[in-house]
Amino acid sequence: MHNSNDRDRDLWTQFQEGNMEAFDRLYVSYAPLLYNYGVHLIPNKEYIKDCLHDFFVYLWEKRERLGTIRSIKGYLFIAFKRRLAEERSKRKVRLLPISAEFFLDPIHSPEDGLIAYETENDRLAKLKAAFQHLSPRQKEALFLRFHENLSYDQIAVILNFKDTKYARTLIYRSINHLKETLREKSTGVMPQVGDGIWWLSLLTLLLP
Amino acid sequence: MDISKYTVEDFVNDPGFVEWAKKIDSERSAHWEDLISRRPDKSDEVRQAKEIVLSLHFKKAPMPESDLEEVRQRVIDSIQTIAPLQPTRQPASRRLASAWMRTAAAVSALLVAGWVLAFLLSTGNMVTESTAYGEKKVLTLPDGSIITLNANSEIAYHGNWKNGDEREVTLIGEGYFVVKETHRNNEKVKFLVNAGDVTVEVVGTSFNVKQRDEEVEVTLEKGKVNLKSKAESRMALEPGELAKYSGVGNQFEKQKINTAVYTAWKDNRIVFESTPIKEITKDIKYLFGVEVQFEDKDLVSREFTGVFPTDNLDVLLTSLSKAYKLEQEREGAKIILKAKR
Repeated sequence: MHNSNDRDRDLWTQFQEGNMEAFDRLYVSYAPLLYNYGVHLIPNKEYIKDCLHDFFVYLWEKRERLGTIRSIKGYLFIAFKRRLAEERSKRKVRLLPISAEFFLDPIHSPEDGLIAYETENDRLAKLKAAFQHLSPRQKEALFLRFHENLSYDQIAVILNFKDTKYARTLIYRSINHLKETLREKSTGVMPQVGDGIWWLSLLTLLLP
Repeated sequence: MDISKYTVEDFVNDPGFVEWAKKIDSERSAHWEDLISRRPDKSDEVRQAKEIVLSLHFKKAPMPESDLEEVRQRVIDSIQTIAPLQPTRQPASRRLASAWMRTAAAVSALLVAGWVLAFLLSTGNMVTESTAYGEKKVLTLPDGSIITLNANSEIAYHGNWKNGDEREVTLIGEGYFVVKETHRNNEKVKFLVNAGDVTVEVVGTSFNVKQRDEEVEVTLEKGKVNLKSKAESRMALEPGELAKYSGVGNQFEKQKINTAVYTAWKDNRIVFESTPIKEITKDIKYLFGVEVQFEDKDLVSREFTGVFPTDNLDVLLTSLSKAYKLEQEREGAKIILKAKR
């Protein structure tokens, strides 16, 4: 069984050799991801569609000169972001500013039982709000890390950091911020469960 | 592997932990199940980290299947016109529709259907409307406000306005706004227009916003608006006033004007009142996508007055040519006006 690196390398080599089917597979696999990313940076769907068109045409034209790459996904995200930034400076009139507007859509895990469902809802809402207070770059970094599973190296390039460690620091700081939000509340978690029980015992006292 | 020194941040940053938290069935995930069960003393960190991991789930803007296909066709068309491919058994677009592709398409159609549903249920979706050169659109926003969008312009807003929410739109180009007054708890609710570096803040009124590169012009017809630039300079406008923001010095300049001139475009008229020809060529470029050049560079600082239809550039060009005894010469997308010989 091939691992994903080998698969990537094979696909990339075929694409570089001019295999249209390989190119199309790149398109079908990655265009939706780049679209999702792009629309969150520049909320203009038609524009992002045009950028995708230009980007894939560019890839095809330049395929022989692109060299070998370690990860297709990492490479495409880096190159696409660079193209968006270039396009933007060329045609700044038509463009909204690049500012990451990502939103969370937390997964509920009510079966955990540890936390009362309402409390969990409350905590998720708090996390969501805390996330909205992060800077656009922090949001973008978290998106690339946790939604797209990109490496710190790749994220550092996309965000124009000189060194990988800055990407790591940015993400650690963002998580720390989210954690602090939870901490504010966490003292209230258990007592709240206790509250319910307290009311229950009061009720039993009132019963004849 | 030792997790005794792991902080919440370390857990969140560990791909194995993330897989475990998301209940992804993998070897790593099983390994982590084991690790965690051995360290009950880390349960607080684990719980917080798990909550963060599960909340770091992002809203998607799925690419509609039709768009995916449309762009794909366009890419194929473009690369085929750039350099014809090596001879193939079938045309490339046919060949691509192999069995593999059809299966993939069916699978992705299902995925997309799911995404679309999730997207419709979500609240973060962005709505954009734009106009082509020479085109104009009248749009009704979710709150009942009406925007007339001039040619080559674009408006974007989050499509999740509920009654009484603060409203915010981003404009590129030019738009005429009739903002509906809305209330929440007896308070008027703001309506914000972002144009370039300028934010126009209103409650209920009609006004025109024109953004060209760094320059933003706001003309107030009725009501009251407050302007704010990115660099925090501010100005309040009264009816009949125009504020000009040039990007240079981050200041607003105010003047009294006849608003009808500035809003005539929405009634399909373009009005010039002693307007420098330089400005007129700028407008033509924005609204019609046509570059007009004057061979005689001295002409561009002259002023020109007249009323023209917005749907027929020729009327304006002919009139300019007659006034200055010029003739038109087309050069691709450019029109050069030179002295009649």
